[in-house]
Amino acid sequence: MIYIVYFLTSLLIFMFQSTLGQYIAIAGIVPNIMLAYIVSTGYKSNAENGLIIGIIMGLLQDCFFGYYIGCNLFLYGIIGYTAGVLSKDLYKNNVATSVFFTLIATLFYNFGFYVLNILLRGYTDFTAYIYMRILPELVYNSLAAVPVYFIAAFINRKFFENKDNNNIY
Amino acid sequence: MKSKYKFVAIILAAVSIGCAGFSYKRNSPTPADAALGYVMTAAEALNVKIIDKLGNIAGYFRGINSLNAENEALREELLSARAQLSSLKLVEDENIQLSALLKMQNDYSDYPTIGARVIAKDPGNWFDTFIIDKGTNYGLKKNMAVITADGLAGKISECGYNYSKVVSIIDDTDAVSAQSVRTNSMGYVTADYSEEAQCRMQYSENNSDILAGYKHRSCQEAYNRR
Repeated sequence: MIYIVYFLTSLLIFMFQSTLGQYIAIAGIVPNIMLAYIVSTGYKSNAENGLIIGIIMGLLQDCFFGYYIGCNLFLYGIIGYTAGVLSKDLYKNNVATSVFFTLIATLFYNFGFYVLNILLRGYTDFTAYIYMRILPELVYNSLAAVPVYFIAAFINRKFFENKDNNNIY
Repeated sequence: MKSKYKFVAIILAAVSIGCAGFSYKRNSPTPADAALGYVMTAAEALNVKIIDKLGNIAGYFRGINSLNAENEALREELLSARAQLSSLKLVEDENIQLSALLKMQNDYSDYPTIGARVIAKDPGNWFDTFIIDKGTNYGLKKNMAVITADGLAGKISECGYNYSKVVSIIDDTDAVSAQSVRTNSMGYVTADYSEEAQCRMQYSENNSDILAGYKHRSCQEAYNRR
């Protein structure tokens, strides 16, 4: 059941990101809502669900927009899993933690994407990429992470209440 | 008490009979009458004015209800007019866009063209790829050029049945050979990431005198640099 819900929400968020997401772009930079959703799910639920969401999202993005399948699959999967593992012993009801995780994940994702797609083709102008793409997306993603956190929290509470993760606080 | 009233009534009757007798055949007002009339005329005029004013005020207050209704109606009319205006603006924009496309079709009359619509854009910020809503069902193939009214936009990198993936010219994975219309010098055009959404011309001759902002024509086959 939870996997069907995850698949449908992933599809919905992917469609939103690739069509309507262009309308909330500032200076050509779109916030990566998919990444924020993966991190929020990994944080709110557990590492396995983060991994699954990451795989679904990565496959979707690779199939529709990537040059080869595997890059986003790998990065999103790793990010979802890591977010789940790192937040295993953390207090689970804090927006700020999710935003911080999204920040780190954005840095990691963009750096990994740069290495896998740009650096291997021979472009070494990393500073230009940092200024043009990574820094604006960092700021924008951490803003977008707040509403996405509440969506992920709602889905997690509604469909999948993991008793192990309920904290005593 | 009663005798007092009787007395007054008798005097009143006598005076009125006397007055009637005196004024039985009068043609002009008596001096007393005239004086009284002079004062009363002014007072009556004032009275009429006051009544007019009061009527106006009452009418004012009575009119507020109808004014409110009218205000509502006008408001609704304004809203509908605004909605109509914005929809007309949309139609006008579309008209401008379509006539630019029509002009473009005349410019490139040697090549068959198919109109398509952009339906999705790359979610990430690294690549500039997008998806259009026509595919092999309209006879599109890989490596076909995608043009807009302003010139080359990109090329088709993948073709599905009812969609095609387009790599934009401002994406640095692809490049196209080009010739400057101004000086006829050759080179090739690719993305320039030091400035947002700009292209750069490379590998042209030293003395070719190429200036930014001038028109370039590209050859038919875009080639892949990956």
